[in-house]
Amino acid sequence: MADPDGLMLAIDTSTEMSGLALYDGRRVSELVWHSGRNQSGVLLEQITHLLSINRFEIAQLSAIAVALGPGTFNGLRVGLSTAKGLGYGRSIPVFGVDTLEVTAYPHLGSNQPVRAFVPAGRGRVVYGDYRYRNKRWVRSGELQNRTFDELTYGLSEPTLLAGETPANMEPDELASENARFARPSMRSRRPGHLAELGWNRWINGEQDDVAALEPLYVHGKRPGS
Amino acid sequence: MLILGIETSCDETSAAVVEDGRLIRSNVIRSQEDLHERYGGVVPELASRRHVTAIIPTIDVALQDAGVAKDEIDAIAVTEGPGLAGSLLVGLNTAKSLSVAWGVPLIPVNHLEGHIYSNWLTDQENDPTFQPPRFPCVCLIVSGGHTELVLIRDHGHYDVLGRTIDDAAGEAFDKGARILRLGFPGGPAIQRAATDGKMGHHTFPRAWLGETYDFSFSGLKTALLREVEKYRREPLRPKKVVSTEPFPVHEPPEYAPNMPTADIAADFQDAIIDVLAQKTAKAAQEHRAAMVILAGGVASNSLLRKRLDSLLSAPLRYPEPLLCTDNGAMIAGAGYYLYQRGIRASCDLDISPQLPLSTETSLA
Ligand SMILES: [Zn+2]
Repeated sequence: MADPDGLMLAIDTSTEMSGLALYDGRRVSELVWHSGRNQSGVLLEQITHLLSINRFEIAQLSAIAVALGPGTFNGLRVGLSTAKGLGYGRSIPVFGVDTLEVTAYPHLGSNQPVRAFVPAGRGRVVYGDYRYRNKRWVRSGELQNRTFDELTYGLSEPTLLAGETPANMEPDELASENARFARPSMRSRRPGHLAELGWNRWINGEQDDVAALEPLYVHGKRPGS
Repeated sequence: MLILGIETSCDETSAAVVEDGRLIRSNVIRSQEDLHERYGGVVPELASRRHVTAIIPTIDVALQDAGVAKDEIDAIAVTEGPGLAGSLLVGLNTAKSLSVAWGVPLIPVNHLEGHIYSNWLTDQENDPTFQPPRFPCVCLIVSGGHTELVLIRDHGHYDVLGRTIDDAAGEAFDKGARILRLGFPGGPAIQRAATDGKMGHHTFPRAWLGETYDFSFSGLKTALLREVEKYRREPLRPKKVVSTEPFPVHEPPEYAPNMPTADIAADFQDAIIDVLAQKTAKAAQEHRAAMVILAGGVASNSLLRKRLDSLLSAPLRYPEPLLCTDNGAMIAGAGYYLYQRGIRASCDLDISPQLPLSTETSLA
Protein backbone atom coordinates (compact mmCIF):
# COMPACT_ATOMS: atom_id res chain seq x y z
CA MET A 1 0.00 0.00 0.00
CA ALA A 2 1.06 3.53 -0.65
CA ASP A 3 2.84 5.35 2.10
CA PRO A 4 0.98 8.60 2.96
CA ASP A 5 4.37 10.30 3.03
CA GLY A 6 5.48 8.51 -0.09
CA LEU A 7 7.22 10.11 -3.04
CA MET A 8 6.72 8.73 -6.52
CA LEU A 9 9.01 9.38 -9.49
CA ALA A 10 7.37 9.11 -12.92
CA ILE A 11 9.55 8.47 -15.99
CA ASP A 12 8.25 8.79 -19.56
CA THR A 13 10.69 8.27 -22.44
CA SER A 14 8.16 6.93 -24.93
CA THR A 15 8.91 9.61 -27.52
CA GLU A 16 11.31 12.45 -28.31
CA MET A 17 9.45 14.53 -25.70
CA SER A 18 10.73 13.14 -22.43
CA GLY A 19 9.03 13.78 -19.10
CA LEU A 20 9.61 13.33 -15.40
CA ALA A 21 7.37 14.00 -12.43
CA LEU A 22 7.59 13.84 -8.66
CA TYR A 23 4.31 13.23 -6.88
CA ASP A 24 3.50 12.87 -3.18
CA GLY A 25 -0.27 12.39 -3.57
CA ARG A 26 -0.90 16.15 -3.22
CA ARG A 27 1.63 18.08 -5.25
CA VAL A 28 3.16 17.27 -8.58
CA SER A 29 6.41 18.71 -9.97
CA GLU A 30 7.05 18.13 -13.64
CA LEU A 31 9.94 18.37 -16.06
CA VAL A 32 9.25 18.00 -19.78
CA TRP A 33 11.82 18.62 -22.49
CA HIS A 34 12.56 17.82 -26.09
CA SER A 35 15.23 15.15 -25.71
CA GLY A 36 15.17 13.93 -29.29
CA ARG A 37 16.85 10.54 -29.39
CA ASN A 38 19.34 11.61 -26.74
CA GLN A 39 17.60 10.11 -23.74
CA SER A 40 20.29 7.71 -22.61
CA GLY A 41 22.76 10.54 -22.05
CA VAL A 42 20.53 12.94 -20.12
CA LEU A 43 17.69 11.10 -18.39
CA LEU A 44 19.43 10.27 -15.11
CA GLU A 45 20.99 13.73 -14.95
CA GLN A 46 17.49 15.23 -15.29
CA ILE A 47 16.17 12.94 -12.54
CA THR A 48 18.85 14.10 -10.11
CA HIS A 49 18.17 17.70 -11.22
CA LEU A 50 14.42 17.42 -10.61
CA LEU A 51 15.05 15.88 -7.20
CA SER A 52 17.54 18.55 -6.19
CA ILE A 53 15.49 21.61 -7.27
CA ASN A 54 12.63 20.18 -5.23
CA ARG A 55 15.05 19.61 -2.31
CA PHE A 56 14.67 15.85 -2.28
CA GLU A 57 17.29 13.15 -1.95
CA ILE A 58 17.31 9.98 -4.03
CA ALA A 59 16.83 7.99 -0.80
CA GLN A 60 13.44 9.65 -0.28
CA LEU A 61 11.91 8.02 -3.37
CA SER A 62 9.40 5.37 -2.38
CA ALA A 63 7.94 4.25 -5.72
CA ILE A 64 8.42 4.64 -9.47
CA ALA A 65 5.96 4.80 -12.35
CA VAL A 66 7.31 4.20 -15.83
CA ALA A 67 5.68 4.53 -19.24
CA LEU A 68 5.73 1.18 -21.05
CA GLY A 69 4.84 2.47 -24.49
CA PRO A 70 3.89 2.21 -27.23
CA GLY A 71 6.63 4.50 -28.48
CA THR A 72 10.15 4.31 -29.82
CA PHE A 73 11.71 1.02 -28.74
CA ASN A 74 15.11 2.36 -27.69
CA GLY A 75 13.55 5.31 -25.87
CA LEU A 76 11.32 2.98 -23.88
CA ARG A 77 14.30 0.78 -23.03
CA VAL A 78 16.20 3.77 -21.62
CA GLY A 79 13.29 4.70 -19.33
CA LEU A 80 12.66 1.13 -18.26
CA SER A 81 16.32 0.33 -17.56
CA THR A 82 16.60 3.49 -15.48
CA ALA A 83 13.38 2.70 -13.59
CA LYS A 84 14.53 -0.86 -12.98
CA GLY A 85 17.95 0.21 -11.73
CA LEU A 86 16.45 2.74 -9.34
CA GLY A 87 13.65 0.39 -8.24
CA TYR A 88 15.96 -2.56 -7.64
CA GLY A 89 18.74 -0.38 -6.24
CA ARG A 90 16.49 1.36 -3.70
CA SER A 91 14.26 -1.73 -3.15
CA ILE A 92 11.10 0.22 -4.03
CA PRO A 93 8.15 -0.81 -6.24
CA VAL A 94 8.00 0.02 -9.96
CA PHE A 95 4.69 0.36 -11.80
CA GLY A 96 4.42 0.09 -15.57
CA VAL A 97 1.76 2.27 -17.21
CA ASP A 98 0.44 2.26 -20.80
CA THR A 99 1.60 5.42 -22.59
CA LEU A 100 -1.68 5.76 -24.50
CA GLU A 101 -3.63 5.58 -21.25
CA VAL A 102 -1.51 8.48 -19.99
CA THR A 103 -2.38 10.37 -23.19
CA ALA A 104 -6.13 9.73 -22.89
CA TYR A 105 -6.26 10.30 -19.11
CA PRO A 106 -6.80 14.13 -18.95
CA HIS A 107 -9.73 13.94 -21.39
CA LEU A 108 -11.60 11.75 -18.97
CA GLY A 109 -15.27 12.60 -18.92
CA SER A 110 -15.34 14.81 -22.02
CA ASN A 111 -18.26 12.67 -23.26
CA GLN A 112 -16.44 11.87 -26.44
CA PRO A 113 -14.40 8.87 -27.43
CA VAL A 114 -10.70 9.60 -27.62
CA ARG A 115 -8.19 8.33 -30.13
CA ALA A 116 -4.87 8.52 -28.30
CA PHE A 117 -1.72 8.39 -30.39
CA VAL A 118 2.01 8.42 -29.98
CA PRO A 119 4.76 8.86 -32.61
CA ALA A 120 6.53 5.59 -33.28
CA GLY A 121 9.45 6.81 -35.41
CA ARG A 122 9.86 7.21 -39.19
CA GLY A 123 6.71 9.34 -39.44
CA ARG A 124 4.52 6.57 -38.04
CA VAL A 125 2.06 6.66 -35.17
CA VAL A 126 0.59 4.04 -32.89
CA TYR A 127 -2.97 4.73 -31.81
CA GLY A 128 -5.77 3.21 -29.81
CA ASP A 129 -9.43 4.14 -29.31
CA TYR A 130 -10.57 4.81 -25.75
CA ARG A 131 -14.01 5.22 -24.20
CA TYR A 132 -15.09 6.16 -20.72
CA ARG A 133 -16.85 3.24 -19.05
CA ASN A 134 -17.42 2.54 -15.35
CA LYS A 135 -15.28 5.50 -14.31
CA ARG A 136 -12.26 4.47 -16.32
CA TRP A 137 -10.87 4.49 -19.82
CA VAL A 138 -11.36 1.28 -21.70
CA ARG A 139 -9.66 0.62 -25.00
CA SER A 140 -11.73 -0.84 -27.81
CA GLY A 141 -10.00 -2.76 -30.59
CA GLU A 142 -6.33 -3.43 -31.29
CA LEU A 143 -3.55 -0.87 -31.19
CA GLN A 144 -2.66 0.24 -34.72
CA ASN A 145 0.77 1.14 -36.08
CA ARG A 146 0.22 3.30 -39.17
CA THR A 147 1.52 6.28 -41.08
CA PHE A 148 0.49 9.70 -39.75
CA ASP A 149 -1.98 10.38 -42.61
CA GLU A 150 -3.85 7.21 -41.67
CA LEU A 151 -4.44 8.52 -38.14
CA THR A 152 -8.04 9.60 -38.79
CA TYR A 153 -9.07 6.39 -40.58
CA GLY A 154 -12.26 4.66 -39.60
CA LEU A 155 -13.71 7.29 -37.26
CA SER A 156 -17.47 6.65 -37.29
CA GLU A 157 -18.41 9.34 -34.75
CA PRO A 158 -16.99 12.66 -33.53
CA THR A 159 -13.74 11.79 -31.75
CA LEU A 160 -11.15 13.76 -29.85
CA LEU A 161 -7.61 13.09 -31.04
CA ALA A 162 -4.92 13.48 -28.42
CA GLY A 163 -1.22 12.79 -28.61
CA GLU A 164 2.12 14.13 -29.70
CA THR A 165 2.40 14.61 -33.45
CA PRO A 166 5.52 13.30 -35.20
CA ALA A 167 8.12 15.97 -36.08
CA ASN A 168 7.13 18.18 -39.05
CA MET A 169 3.62 16.78 -39.21
CA GLU A 170 0.59 18.89 -38.39
CA PRO A 171 -2.96 17.76 -37.69
CA ASP A 172 -4.49 20.34 -40.11
CA GLU A 173 -3.21 18.13 -42.91
CA LEU A 174 -5.69 15.51 -41.80
CA ALA A 175 -9.14 16.80 -42.73
CA SER A 176 -11.87 14.48 -41.52
CA GLU A 177 -15.37 15.39 -40.38
CA ASN A 178 -15.23 13.24 -37.25
CA ALA A 179 -11.76 14.22 -36.12
CA ARG A 180 -11.24 17.00 -33.61
CA PHE A 181 -7.68 17.60 -32.42
CA ALA A 182 -7.04 18.82 -28.91
CA ARG A 183 -4.87 21.96 -28.63
CA PRO A 184 -1.11 21.30 -28.51
CA SER A 185 -0.85 21.98 -24.76
CA MET A 186 -3.83 19.70 -24.13
CA ARG A 187 -2.99 16.89 -26.49
CA SER A 188 0.56 16.18 -25.30
CA ARG A 189 1.26 13.68 -22.58
CA ARG A 190 2.11 14.98 -19.13
CA PRO A 191 4.32 13.07 -16.73
CA GLY A 192 2.08 14.19 -13.86
CA HIS A 193 -0.71 12.08 -15.32
CA LEU A 194 1.61 9.11 -15.50
CA ALA A 195 2.45 9.69 -11.83
CA GLU A 196 -1.26 9.80 -10.88
CA LEU A 197 -2.01 6.60 -12.77
CA GLY A 198 0.96 4.88 -11.13
CA TRP A 199 -0.03 6.25 -7.74
CA ASN A 200 -3.58 4.91 -8.14
CA ARG A 201 -2.22 1.46 -8.84
CA TRP A 202 0.02 1.75 -5.82
CA ILE A 203 -2.78 2.70 -3.38
CA ASN A 204 -4.94 -0.06 -4.85
CA GLY A 205 -2.28 -2.49 -3.65
CA GLU A 206 -1.34 -3.59 -7.15
CA GLN A 207 2.15 -4.84 -7.90
CA ASP A 208 4.39 -5.30 -10.93
CA ASP A 209 7.35 -7.66 -11.15
CA VAL A 210 10.15 -5.17 -11.71
CA ALA A 211 12.37 -7.71 -13.47
CA ALA A 212 9.71 -8.80 -15.95
CA LEU A 213 8.46 -5.33 -16.95
CA GLU A 214 9.06 -4.71 -20.64
CA PRO A 215 8.04 -2.21 -23.29
CA LEU A 216 4.85 -2.64 -25.26
CA TYR A 217 6.18 -3.36 -28.76
CA VAL A 218 3.67 -2.49 -31.49
CA HIS A 219 4.98 -3.37 -34.93
CA GLY A 220 3.98 -1.89 -38.24
CA LYS A 221 3.20 -4.28 -41.08
CA ARG A 222 6.34 -5.52 -42.77
CA PRO A 223 6.46 -4.68 -46.47
CA GLY A 224 5.25 -7.65 -48.50
CA SER A 225 3.52 -9.42 -45.64
CA MET B 1 37.51 -3.60 -3.40
CA LEU B 2 34.32 -5.17 -4.79
CA ILE B 3 33.23 -4.11 -8.28
CA LEU B 4 29.95 -5.09 -9.92
CA GLY B 5 30.55 -5.50 -13.65
CA ILE B 6 27.66 -5.24 -16.12
CA GLU B 7 27.93 -6.28 -19.77
CA THR B 8 25.16 -6.15 -22.40
CA SER B 9 26.95 -5.17 -25.60
CA CYS B 10 25.68 -8.01 -27.78
CA ASP B 11 23.64 -11.12 -27.01
CA GLU B 12 24.77 -12.09 -23.51
CA THR B 13 23.29 -10.44 -20.45
CA SER B 14 25.98 -10.68 -17.80
CA ALA B 15 26.79 -9.37 -14.34
CA ALA B 16 29.64 -10.30 -12.02
CA VAL B 17 31.30 -9.37 -8.77
CA VAL B 18 35.10 -9.21 -8.88
CA GLU B 19 37.43 -8.48 -5.97
CA ASP B 20 40.47 -6.28 -6.59
CA GLY B 21 40.43 -6.84 -10.36
CA ARG B 22 41.48 -10.45 -9.90
CA LEU B 23 39.24 -12.77 -7.92
CA ILE B 24 35.90 -13.69 -9.49
CA ARG B 25 33.32 -13.86 -6.71
CA SER B 26 30.49 -14.47 -9.19
CA ASN B 27 29.99 -14.33 -12.94
CA VAL B 28 26.45 -14.81 -14.23
CA ILE B 29 26.06 -15.09 -18.00
CA ARG B 30 22.62 -15.37 -19.56
CA SER B 31 23.21 -16.43 -23.12
CA GLN B 32 20.59 -15.74 -25.78
CA GLU B 33 21.81 -18.40 -28.23
CA ASP B 34 18.44 -20.20 -28.09
CA LEU B 35 16.69 -16.99 -29.12
CA HIS B 36 18.83 -16.17 -32.16
CA GLU B 37 19.48 -19.66 -33.51
CA ARG B 38 16.50 -19.78 -35.88
CA TYR B 39 17.58 -16.47 -37.41
CA GLY B 40 21.09 -17.75 -38.13
CA GLY B 41 22.66 -14.84 -36.26
CA VAL B 42 22.04 -12.17 -33.66
CA VAL B 43 18.93 -10.07 -34.33
CA PRO B 44 19.77 -6.76 -32.60
CA GLU B 45 16.18 -5.81 -31.75
CA LEU B 46 15.50 -9.21 -30.15
CA ALA B 47 18.78 -9.04 -28.23
CA SER B 48 17.78 -5.67 -26.73
CA ARG B 49 14.39 -7.03 -25.74
CA ARG B 50 15.87 -9.97 -23.91
CA HIS B 51 18.33 -7.71 -22.04
CA VAL B 52 15.42 -5.67 -20.66
CA THR B 53 13.86 -8.65 -18.89
CA ALA B 54 17.13 -10.43 -18.05
CA ILE B 55 19.13 -7.56 -16.56
CA ILE B 56 17.71 -7.37 -13.02
CA PRO B 57 17.61 -11.14 -12.34
CA THR B 58 21.17 -11.42 -13.70
CA ILE B 59 22.45 -8.71 -11.36
CA ASP B 60 20.49 -10.14 -8.45
CA VAL B 61 21.93 -13.64 -8.92
CA ALA B 62 25.43 -12.19 -9.32
CA LEU B 63 25.14 -10.53 -5.90
CA GLN B 64 23.67 -13.70 -4.35
CA ASP B 65 26.32 -15.99 -5.86
CA ALA B 66 29.02 -13.68 -4.53
CA GLY B 67 27.36 -13.61 -1.12
CA VAL B 68 27.42 -9.83 -1.24
CA ALA B 69 24.75 -7.36 -0.14
CA LYS B 70 23.85 -4.35 -2.28
CA ASP B 71 25.56 -1.95 0.13
CA GLU B 72 28.85 -3.87 0.00
CA ILE B 73 29.49 -2.99 -3.66
CA ASP B 74 32.21 -0.32 -3.90
CA ALA B 75 31.84 0.62 -7.58
CA ILE B 76 30.00 -0.35 -10.74
CA ALA B 77 31.78 -0.98 -14.04
CA VAL B 78 29.75 -1.06 -17.25
CA THR B 79 30.40 -1.56 -20.95
CA GLU B 80 29.93 1.76 -22.79
CA GLY B 81 30.88 0.34 -26.21
CA PRO B 82 31.59 -0.88 -28.79
CA GLY B 83 28.49 -2.96 -29.42
CA LEU B 84 24.86 -2.94 -30.46
CA ALA B 85 23.20 0.36 -29.49
CA GLY B 86 19.90 -1.08 -28.26
CA SER B 87 21.73 -3.69 -26.18
CA LEU B 88 24.30 -1.30 -24.70
CA LEU B 89 21.50 1.08 -23.63
CA VAL B 90 20.01 -1.47 -21.26
CA GLY B 91 23.16 -2.30 -19.32
CA LEU B 92 24.43 1.27 -19.27
CA ASN B 93 21.22 2.87 -18.00
CA THR B 94 20.72 0.16 -15.40
CA ALA B 95 24.31 0.62 -14.21
CA LYS B 96 24.01 4.41 -14.09
CA SER B 97 20.83 4.32 -12.03
CA LEU B 98 22.31 1.69 -9.69
CA SER B 99 25.33 3.90 -9.11
CA VAL B 100 23.04 6.82 -8.19
CA ALA B 101 20.79 4.57 -6.09
CA TRP B 102 23.75 3.20 -4.12
CA GLY B 103 25.89 6.34 -4.19
CA VAL B 104 28.93 4.51 -5.61
CA PRO B 105 31.27 5.47 -8.48
CA LEU B 106 30.53 4.42 -12.03
CA ILE B 107 33.39 3.26 -14.25
CA PRO B 108 32.98 3.25 -18.07
CA VAL B 109 34.69 0.27 -19.71
CA ASN B 110 35.58 -0.36 -23.34
CA HIS B 111 34.31 -3.83 -24.21
CA LEU B 112 37.63 -4.71 -25.92
CA GLU B 113 39.57 -3.66 -22.85
CA GLY B 114 37.26 -5.96 -20.91
CA HIS B 115 38.20 -8.89 -23.16
CA ILE B 116 41.91 -8.16 -22.57
CA TYR B 117 41.42 -8.19 -18.79
CA SER B 118 39.77 -11.61 -18.84
CA ASN B 119 43.42 -12.74 -18.71
CA TRP B 120 43.88 -11.15 -15.27
CA LEU B 121 41.03 -13.11 -13.65
CA THR B 122 40.89 -16.24 -11.56
CA ASP B 123 38.23 -17.95 -9.49
CA GLN B 124 40.74 -19.44 -7.04
CA GLU B 125 41.44 -17.48 -3.90
CA ASN B 126 44.88 -19.06 -3.44
CA ASP B 127 46.17 -20.31 -6.74
CA PRO B 128 50.00 -20.58 -6.71
CA THR B 129 50.05 -21.27 -10.47
CA PHE B 130 48.16 -18.08 -11.28
CA GLN B 131 50.30 -15.55 -13.10
CA PRO B 132 48.90 -12.39 -14.61
CA PRO B 133 50.20 -11.38 -18.06
CA ARG B 134 53.55 -9.63 -18.30
CA PHE B 135 54.22 -6.47 -20.30
CA PRO B 136 54.81 -5.79 -23.07
CA CYS B 137 52.31 -8.27 -24.37
CA VAL B 138 50.56 -8.81 -27.66
CA CYS B 139 46.86 -9.58 -27.41
CA LEU B 140 44.71 -11.06 -30.17
CA ILE B 141 41.06 -10.25 -29.54
CA VAL B 142 38.94 -12.51 -31.75
CA SER B 143 35.19 -12.82 -31.47
CA GLY B 144 31.98 -12.58 -33.47
CA GLY B 145 32.25 -8.80 -33.41
CA HIS B 146 35.98 -8.11 -33.27
CA THR B 147 39.37 -9.05 -34.65
CA GLU B 148 42.07 -6.80 -33.20
CA LEU B 149 45.75 -7.28 -32.66
CA VAL B 150 46.90 -5.07 -29.80
CA LEU B 151 50.28 -4.26 -28.30
CA ILE B 152 49.91 -3.58 -24.57
CA ARG B 153 52.89 -1.80 -23.03
CA ASP B 154 51.36 -1.32 -19.59
CA HIS B 155 47.93 -1.10 -17.97
CA GLY B 156 45.87 1.20 -20.18
CA HIS B 157 48.56 1.64 -22.87
CA TYR B 158 47.20 0.18 -26.08
CA ASP B 159 48.55 0.30 -29.62
CA VAL B 160 46.17 -1.33 -32.05
CA LEU B 161 48.56 -2.94 -34.54
CA GLY B 162 45.84 -4.19 -36.85
CA ARG B 163 42.18 -5.05 -37.12
CA THR B 164 39.75 -6.55 -39.54
CA ILE B 165 38.81 -4.36 -42.48
CA ASP B 166 35.53 -6.25 -43.06
CA ASP B 167 34.17 -9.31 -41.21
CA ALA B 168 35.35 -10.34 -37.76
CA ALA B 169 36.91 -13.82 -37.51
CA GLY B 170 33.97 -15.07 -35.45
CA GLU B 171 31.59 -13.59 -37.99
CA ALA B 172 33.38 -15.56 -40.73
CA PHE B 173 32.83 -18.72 -38.66
CA ASP B 174 29.15 -17.82 -38.22
CA LYS B 175 28.65 -17.24 -41.94
CA GLY B 176 30.54 -20.42 -42.79
CA ALA B 177 28.47 -22.48 -40.37
CA ARG B 178 25.28 -21.02 -41.82
CA ILE B 179 26.32 -22.04 -45.34
CA LEU B 180 27.40 -25.50 -44.15
CA ARG B 181 24.19 -25.98 -42.07
CA LEU B 182 26.20 -26.47 -38.90
CA GLY B 183 24.22 -24.20 -36.60
CA PHE B 184 24.84 -21.10 -34.52
CA PRO B 185 27.20 -19.92 -33.07
CA GLY B 186 29.50 -20.93 -35.87
CA GLY B 187 32.94 -21.11 -34.22
CA PRO B 188 32.33 -24.14 -31.98
CA ALA B 189 30.12 -25.74 -34.67
CA ILE B 190 32.82 -25.58 -37.34
CA GLN B 191 35.53 -26.71 -34.94
CA ARG B 192 33.38 -29.72 -34.02
CA ALA B 193 32.67 -30.64 -37.64
CA ALA B 194 36.33 -30.12 -38.61
CA THR B 195 37.64 -32.68 -36.10
CA ASP B 196 36.32 -35.47 -38.37
CA GLY B 197 37.55 -33.80 -41.53
CA LYS B 198 40.68 -34.22 -43.63
CA MET B 199 42.47 -31.06 -44.61
CA GLY B 200 43.98 -30.24 -47.97
CA HIS B 201 41.14 -31.11 -50.35
CA HIS B 202 39.64 -27.65 -50.63
CA THR B 203 41.44 -24.40 -51.11
CA PHE B 204 40.40 -21.21 -49.44
CA PRO B 205 42.02 -17.81 -49.95
CA ARG B 206 44.13 -16.13 -47.28
CA ALA B 207 44.10 -12.35 -47.33
CA TRP B 208 47.56 -11.33 -46.13
CA LEU B 209 47.08 -7.62 -46.91
CA GLY B 210 50.79 -7.10 -47.50
CA GLU B 211 52.95 -6.40 -44.48
CA THR B 212 50.12 -4.99 -42.35
CA TYR B 213 48.59 -6.54 -39.28
CA ASP B 214 45.11 -6.00 -40.68
CA PHE B 215 42.75 -8.85 -41.46
CA SER B 216 40.10 -9.55 -44.08
CA PHE B 217 37.70 -12.48 -43.97
CA SER B 218 34.86 -11.49 -46.29
CA GLY B 219 36.41 -13.27 -49.30
CA LEU B 220 36.11 -16.59 -47.46
CA LYS B 221 32.33 -16.56 -47.64
CA THR B 222 32.36 -16.18 -51.41
CA ALA B 223 34.95 -18.94 -51.74
CA LEU B 224 32.90 -21.24 -49.53
CA LEU B 225 29.74 -20.59 -51.53
CA ARG B 226 31.64 -21.52 -54.69
CA GLU B 227 32.91 -24.69 -53.00
CA VAL B 228 29.45 -25.97 -51.98
CA GLU B 229 27.69 -24.86 -55.17
CA LYS B 230 28.01 -28.24 -56.92
CA TYR B 231 26.25 -29.99 -54.03
CA ARG B 232 23.43 -27.51 -53.78
CA ARG B 233 19.84 -28.69 -54.26
CA GLU B 234 16.57 -26.91 -54.69
CA PRO B 235 14.60 -27.12 -51.46
CA LEU B 236 11.99 -29.90 -51.48
CA ARG B 237 9.49 -27.83 -49.54
CA PRO B 238 8.45 -24.69 -51.40
CA LYS B 239 9.28 -21.52 -49.46
CA LYS B 240 6.42 -19.97 -47.57
CA VAL B 241 5.23 -16.96 -49.53
CA VAL B 242 3.70 -15.01 -46.67
CA SER B 243 5.56 -14.70 -43.38
CA THR B 244 3.93 -13.36 -40.25
CA GLU B 245 7.32 -13.19 -38.53
CA PRO B 246 8.36 -9.66 -37.59
CA PHE B 247 11.99 -10.72 -38.18
CA PRO B 248 13.12 -12.79 -41.18
CA VAL B 249 13.85 -16.39 -40.24
CA HIS B 250 16.94 -18.10 -41.67
CA GLU B 251 16.10 -20.76 -44.28
CA PRO B 252 19.02 -23.21 -44.38
CA PRO B 253 20.26 -24.29 -47.81
CA GLU B 254 19.91 -27.91 -48.91
CA TYR B 255 22.74 -30.10 -50.20
CA ALA B 256 23.34 -33.54 -51.68
CA PRO B 257 24.09 -36.12 -48.95
CA ASN B 258 27.56 -36.82 -50.33
CA MET B 259 28.85 -33.32 -49.60
CA PRO B 260 32.10 -33.69 -47.60
CA THR B 261 31.03 -31.17 -44.94
CA ALA B 262 33.69 -32.17 -42.41
CA ASP B 263 36.55 -31.84 -44.94
CA ILE B 264 35.29 -28.48 -46.15
CA ALA B 265 34.90 -27.27 -42.54
CA ALA B 266 38.47 -28.35 -41.74
CA ASP B 267 39.98 -26.38 -44.62
CA PHE B 268 37.70 -23.41 -43.98
CA GLN B 269 38.74 -23.28 -40.33
CA ASP B 270 42.40 -23.62 -41.28
CA ALA B 271 42.17 -20.62 -43.60
CA ILE B 272 40.97 -18.40 -40.75
CA ILE B 273 43.31 -19.76 -38.09
CA ASP B 274 46.37 -19.69 -40.35
CA VAL B 275 46.19 -15.92 -40.90
CA LEU B 276 45.35 -15.18 -37.25
CA ALA B 277 48.23 -17.28 -35.94
CA GLN B 278 50.87 -16.09 -38.38
CA LYS B 279 50.14 -12.38 -37.95
CA THR B 280 50.01 -12.70 -34.16
CA ALA B 281 53.34 -14.55 -34.10
CA LYS B 282 54.93 -11.95 -36.35
CA ALA B 283 53.70 -9.09 -34.13
CA ALA B 284 54.99 -10.84 -31.01
CA GLN B 285 58.40 -11.20 -32.55
CA GLU B 286 58.58 -7.66 -33.92
CA HIS B 287 57.59 -6.09 -30.58
CA ARG B 288 59.55 -8.55 -28.42
CA ALA B 289 56.46 -9.50 -26.49
CA ALA B 290 57.06 -11.01 -23.07
CA MET B 291 53.78 -12.84 -23.49
CA VAL B 292 51.03 -13.39 -26.04
CA ILE B 293 47.47 -13.41 -24.77
CA LEU B 294 44.20 -14.38 -26.44
CA ALA B 295 40.72 -13.04 -25.75
CA GLY B 296 37.22 -13.32 -27.20
CA GLY B 297 35.10 -16.27 -28.26
CA VAL B 298 37.49 -17.54 -30.97
CA ALA B 299 40.25 -17.75 -28.31
CA SER B 300 38.56 -21.02 -27.33
CA ASN B 301 39.44 -22.53 -30.71
CA SER B 302 41.95 -25.32 -30.03
CA LEU B 303 43.52 -25.20 -33.49
CA LEU B 304 44.35 -21.51 -32.91
CA ARG B 305 46.04 -22.32 -29.60
CA LYS B 306 47.94 -25.25 -31.05
CA ARG B 307 49.10 -23.33 -34.12
CA LEU B 308 50.21 -20.34 -32.05
CA ASP B 309 52.08 -22.52 -29.58
CA SER B 310 54.13 -23.95 -32.42
CA LEU B 311 54.93 -20.52 -33.88
CA LEU B 312 55.69 -18.52 -30.73
CA SER B 313 58.84 -18.22 -28.67
CA ALA B 314 57.03 -16.13 -26.03
CA PRO B 315 54.60 -17.92 -23.67
CA LEU B 316 50.94 -18.06 -24.70
CA ARG B 317 48.14 -17.34 -22.25
CA TYR B 318 44.40 -17.58 -22.74
CA PRO B 319 41.36 -17.43 -20.46
CA GLU B 320 39.18 -20.41 -19.67
CA PRO B 321 36.30 -20.83 -22.18
CA LEU B 322 33.69 -19.13 -19.97
CA LEU B 323 35.83 -15.99 -19.80
CA CYS B 324 36.29 -15.97 -23.58
CA THR B 325 32.59 -15.24 -24.10
CA ASP B 326 31.22 -11.81 -23.26
CA ASN B 327 30.95 -11.64 -19.48
CA GLY B 328 30.58 -9.18 -16.62
CA ALA B 329 33.70 -10.35 -14.76
CA MET B 330 36.02 -9.06 -17.50
CA ILE B 331 34.27 -5.67 -17.33
CA ALA B 332 34.66 -5.56 -13.54
CA GLY B 333 38.30 -6.66 -13.93
CA ALA B 334 39.14 -3.92 -16.43
CA GLY B 335 37.08 -1.50 -14.33
CA TYR B 336 39.34 -2.09 -11.34
CA TYR B 337 42.46 -0.92 -13.21
CA LEU B 338 40.56 2.05 -14.68
CA TYR B 339 39.42 2.96 -11.17
CA GLN B 340 43.03 2.81 -9.94
CA ARG B 341 43.91 5.34 -12.65
CA GLY B 342 41.13 7.65 -11.47
CA ILE B 343 38.66 7.00 -14.28
CA ARG B 344 35.04 7.77 -13.31
CA ALA B 345 31.92 8.48 -15.34
CA SER B 346 29.37 11.11 -14.42
CA CYS B 347 25.67 10.44 -14.74
CA ASP B 348 25.53 11.90 -18.27
CA LEU B 349 27.55 8.93 -19.59
CA ASP B 350 26.10 7.67 -22.87
CA ILE B 351 26.72 4.60 -24.99
CA SER B 352 29.44 4.60 -27.70
CA PRO B 353 28.52 1.87 -30.20
CA GLN B 354 31.68 2.54 -32.30
CA LEU B 355 34.11 3.15 -29.43
CA PRO B 356 37.68 2.30 -30.54
CA LEU B 357 40.33 0.87 -28.21
CA SER B 358 42.89 3.53 -27.43
CA THR B 359 45.19 4.73 -24.70
CA GLU B 360 43.47 7.23 -22.41
CA THR B 361 44.51 10.79 -23.09
CA SER B 362 45.72 11.10 -19.48
CA LEU B 363 48.28 8.36 -20.15
CA ALA B 364 49.33 9.24 -23.70
ZN1 LIG C 1 32.97 -9.46 -27.04
